[in-house]
Amino acid sequence: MKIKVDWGLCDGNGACALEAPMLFELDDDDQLIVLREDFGPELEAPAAAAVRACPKRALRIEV
Amino acid sequence: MQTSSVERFEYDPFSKEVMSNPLPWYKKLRAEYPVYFAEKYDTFIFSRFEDIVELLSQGDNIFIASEQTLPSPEHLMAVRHEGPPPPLPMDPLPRSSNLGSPWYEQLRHAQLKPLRPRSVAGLEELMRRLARERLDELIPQGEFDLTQEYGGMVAASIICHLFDLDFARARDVRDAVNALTITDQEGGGLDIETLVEQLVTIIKPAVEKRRQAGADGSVPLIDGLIDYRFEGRPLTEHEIAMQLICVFVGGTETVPKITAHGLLELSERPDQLQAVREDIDANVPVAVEEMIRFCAPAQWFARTAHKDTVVAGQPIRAGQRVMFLFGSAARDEREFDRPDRFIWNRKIERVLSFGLGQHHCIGLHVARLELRVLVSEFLKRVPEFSFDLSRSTRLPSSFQWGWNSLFVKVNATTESTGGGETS
Repeated sequence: MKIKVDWGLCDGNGACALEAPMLFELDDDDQLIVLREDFGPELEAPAAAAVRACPKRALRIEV
Repeated sequence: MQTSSVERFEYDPFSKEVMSNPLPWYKKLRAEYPVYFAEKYDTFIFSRFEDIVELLSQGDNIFIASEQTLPSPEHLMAVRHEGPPPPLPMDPLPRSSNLGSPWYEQLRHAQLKPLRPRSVAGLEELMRRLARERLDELIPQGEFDLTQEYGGMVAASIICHLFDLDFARARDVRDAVNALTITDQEGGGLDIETLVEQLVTIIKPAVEKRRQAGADGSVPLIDGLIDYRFEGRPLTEHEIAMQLICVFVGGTETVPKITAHGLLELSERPDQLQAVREDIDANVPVAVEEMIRFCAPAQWFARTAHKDTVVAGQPIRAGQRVMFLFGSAARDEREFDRPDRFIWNRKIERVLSFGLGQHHCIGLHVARLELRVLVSEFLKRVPEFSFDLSRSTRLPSSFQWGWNSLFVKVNATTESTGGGETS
């Protein structure tokens, strides 16, 4: 599975980093860093939580 | 509201009764008409939390606020689209909120730098200083308008800071924004274009000042838009001022109303107030989330469908409109247990008070921090307070329904705590 970010929508709110810190991080300028784009089923739950949590609806999971 | 079994139920967001207290209508809409078609406006109205989530999760330029986020009833009745609406003229550039991707995102990002979480965290010291200074001025009066004189002045002062306006302009900023939204109580909705022009007269000089100073990034809110290129060209000062309206207006009215109304709810529930007071630093952020749910004044916004789509099983043709009732979502019994009860520490999984998706509140971090600061500084400084509702006003409003003025009587020492209190 792959994380897909709509970089136009992403505002660096960081809700994703709270739900899935193994996948998402904000840098010192509150810009999003995707730590790993590809992930396995063991991270599906936190990834899905991050997608739901994003207030900008900027995240998708591609299978 | 009285309906007999013979009367047809009607929900008109611009009717005086609805504008005075929409909550009973929201309850009936959610229960019996979750997708309500207002034929005279060619608008589908959504009142349930989950359906509004579905609507606002649709990207791809399906919904654009090309007829304003807050259209007037006159416009909605006069204009119909048979199919996708024509594109807006782009010279002068419309406000970002009326545009779709990619321009909406570009214009939003040009303003975003000072509103990101870390930048906003750096404003806490200033917010606390402003709140304490304001309380020092107000407390000797014994009784004052909590909405306008406390939250109203602090929020407007933060806007002055973001716009590099002198703090002495805070009162003008506050009054100008209030003048915009107060006109809708007559039932005609807002004359957005006229009111926007009035705000431009305050904002435009701030833009000119930044251009003359070289827009070096030290006032990032404005400098970002000066640097921005729309299809290769810079924006005019007027266009930049128009883009800044959203931030200028956004926090000036909402945060003061939530602060004052939230403190009213606590004062009416002494057990809850006592619980919050037990650890102000830890508990106020929790109580603020319930205040955001319960007291957020923005009732609804609208969009125009630019493509055929479906929401909550309802087909919507390109050219038709939708309204989503945030004020109803906040009280949706499907989302919140006993939603009409203020419960300071209820578990809140999600909230729509800041919206969702593309237009999700750009000032959300400023708003949350201001609310935490305003409520905590007040509770620390004022051991006893009560409200005089007979002097207070909650004007009918189609979209910003809340306590325009809320008079509080305080029992507090007039000794200033200045910067002595740490938090």
